[in-house]
Amino acid sequence: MAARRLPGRLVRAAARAVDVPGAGAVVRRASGRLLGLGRLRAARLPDGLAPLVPDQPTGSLPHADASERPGTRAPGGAATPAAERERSRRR
Amino acid sequence: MTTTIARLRAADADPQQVVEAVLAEPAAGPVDPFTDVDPARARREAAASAQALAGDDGPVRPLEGAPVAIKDVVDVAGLATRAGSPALHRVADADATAVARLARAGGVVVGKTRQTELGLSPVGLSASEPAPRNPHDPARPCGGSSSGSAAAVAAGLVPVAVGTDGGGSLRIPPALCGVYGLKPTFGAVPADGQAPCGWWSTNTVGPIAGSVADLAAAWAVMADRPAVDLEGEPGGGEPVRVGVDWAWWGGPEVVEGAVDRAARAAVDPLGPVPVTIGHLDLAPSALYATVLPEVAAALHGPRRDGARLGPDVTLALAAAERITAVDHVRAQQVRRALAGELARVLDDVDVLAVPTTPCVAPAVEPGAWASPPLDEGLVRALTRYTALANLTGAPALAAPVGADAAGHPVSLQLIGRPGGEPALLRLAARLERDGRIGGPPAPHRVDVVARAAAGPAAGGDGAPSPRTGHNDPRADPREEPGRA
Repeated sequence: MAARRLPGRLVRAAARAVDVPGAGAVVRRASGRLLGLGRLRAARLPDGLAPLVPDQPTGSLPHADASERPGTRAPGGAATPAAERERSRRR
Repeated sequence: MTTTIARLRAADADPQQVVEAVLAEPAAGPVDPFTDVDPARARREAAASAQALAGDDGPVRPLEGAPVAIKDVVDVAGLATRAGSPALHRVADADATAVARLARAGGVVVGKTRQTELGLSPVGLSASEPAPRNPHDPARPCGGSSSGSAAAVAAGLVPVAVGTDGGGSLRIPPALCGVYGLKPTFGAVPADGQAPCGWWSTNTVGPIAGSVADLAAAWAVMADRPAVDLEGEPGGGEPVRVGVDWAWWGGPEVVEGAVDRAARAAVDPLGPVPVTIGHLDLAPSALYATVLPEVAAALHGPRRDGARLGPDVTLALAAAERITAVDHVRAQQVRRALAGELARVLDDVDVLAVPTTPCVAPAVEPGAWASPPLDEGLVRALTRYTALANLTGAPALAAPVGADAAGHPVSLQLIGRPGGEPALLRLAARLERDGRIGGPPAPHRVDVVARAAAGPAAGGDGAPSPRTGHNDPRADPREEPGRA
């Protein structure tokens, strides 16, 4: 753990050095392991992007009573095959 | 079920006496959770609640007379909103919607609580202003960033406090302080009325409370939802299926022994179903590659005042500049993948269980309170289990499950489907009734109900406490002249 810890006095020194030309190494050392960008850049990821959660008018979840039932909805709002199986089982 | 709000009613405590008990010593000894208190508003709202309780004007409002505390980043009319940073300062001219809803439900707004600067540190230390001390052990921090809100609840000053959670801030501080926290589904509680410091795509407003009942009452009010029937069976009469990804939970190299044992003791009787969630190893990087550019963008240009930011925040913003646009988009791809994985797993189980944090409140060197280190390992550890819910928008509930041998609280996290807060709350209520969750009271705890029942409190002269609020000489060492 010690190797991954920058003491407070060095944090202050590094912060002062941020705007100094050539100080990038200080920031790299302080943040590289925390961000883990190398792993993110190397990962194999599925194609495309999609909404993460069902559309929700702020402060109101009109379908929440349905969604709290097991297996009813997936992010994006669609009922999944497993959800349909679950509904059938519970009937 | 023992709850502070229920005790207020059962003890027939006068809301005005309760508020005076809070205002008499809002610091609660060494804890010091408030950055500002508003005695005039608290007394005005408490008087209105006393009048409502004395009258016969229909049903009592759900939070009638209950003191509530609000995290610094959230607007309270007439008080400064600073997000724990001297670089951001404005006096709010109106309550945030979440605060207004609590007040309309009978909550008595006492003041604003301390937080880590811009919500960035999950440890609970800040270079920019004093951090609250953990009510279970004042030598240790409260976790971040909703540090003061969790501390105020654990110290018994308020039954309910408002926090925000962009990476774990409604779960990490409650976990380290031995209380309950609920990160609602993304968008379920209005997020207006906050300091402009980013966190736009992961942040939610939510409650911290001392019991499941108080947590549920506050959530229903903040989300404008019907009250949750906590006596109802969480699985609708069917056994609740709890999933655990044991690889994510991790072994002794990841999770402290006391945390592992206490969390397993709560989960094992539920017959956990082993599940596997893909891409979890990328969650921390995806979180940082998402939120740091958002924070940097929020502070870009005229809003950025580097000379007034703490050194840890300066370094975080410098690190954000190393995140490329491609990194940011890839982080969103990770989020999509994780949302799909979570949906797949939650088709087969009702809820996921995992410790809230892999460690108890960490020991820190005395000098760290004024000059916090940048501890990359600790930051990654504290957010190991919390990032998933932020990245996917899912609701998550943190509940105390006892303490280690030295009395430092341990916490279990339950993660549900989007919109599934009532199911999470009902499951937590059942576990609380069964004695599987809960924890010891903090040594530095003020029983305001007992104090109120004992009679008039001293010090109710309307002036802010000399240890809190605008009069606090320690509140902001770089205070600009003229701050109200």
